[in-house]
Amino acid sequence: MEITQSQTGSWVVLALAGNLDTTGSEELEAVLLPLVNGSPVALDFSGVGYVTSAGFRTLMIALKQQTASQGTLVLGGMSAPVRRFFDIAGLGRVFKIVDDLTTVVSAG
Amino acid sequence: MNLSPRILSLTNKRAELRRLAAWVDEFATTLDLREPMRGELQVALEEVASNVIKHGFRDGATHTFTVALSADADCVTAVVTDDAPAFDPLARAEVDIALPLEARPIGGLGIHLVRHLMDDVAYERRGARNVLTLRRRRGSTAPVAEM
Repeated sequence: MEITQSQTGSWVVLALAGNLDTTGSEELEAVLLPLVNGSPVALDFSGVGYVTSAGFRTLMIALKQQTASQGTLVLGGMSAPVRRFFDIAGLGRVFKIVDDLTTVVSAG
Repeated sequence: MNLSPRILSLTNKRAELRRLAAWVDEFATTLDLREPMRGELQVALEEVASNVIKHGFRDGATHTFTVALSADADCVTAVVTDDAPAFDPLARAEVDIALPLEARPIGGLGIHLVRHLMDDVAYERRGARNVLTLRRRRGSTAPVAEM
């Protein structure tokens, strides 16, 4: 998984390229968990092909940690097949998922 | 396009999942499989293989298990065979995906994904082996209720 980190205003944006499988989610976990400490974090999924339960596990840990610090975690830019994995997992409404991350991130 | 079975042998090490993904990708390319089926097959096979690797063998020794992939005009079929103690992953209760995040167990999602991504999943104990057969019809996308 290739992870590119950038900053827009108060937001930390991680652009993900690859698959959130066992291997990819270990790589994401190492980068993401230290970041979810209250300041807003956005994950750009436009380069993600698929998500396995290992990926969902990492995302759920990050969301729980971010919620505990009263922070925001937003996911966006998903292809229809990737969005479908979230719906099948029953997580389509658990995560905040937007179509276009740029509007969210540039709004503050 | 038909493809006769191709078989990959894996050992019960986490690092093998990377090799499995590359092999499935090659199979999907040969077959010209499109999304979403391609990713669905990858997810289902990683879930099944990682279950075998993480939970199948309790003796700490190195074991080998196999993944076979084949295709005919209607279906892609994957068969995962291991010689671990008898375990039917489908016997596990369905996870309650309606629970709020705080109450949601963090495990159990893998087999849930497999059931819902594939058209047919069957377990069989054959002698000293666990045989899990996954079938996915080509060109169909199972409808998903918004959850």
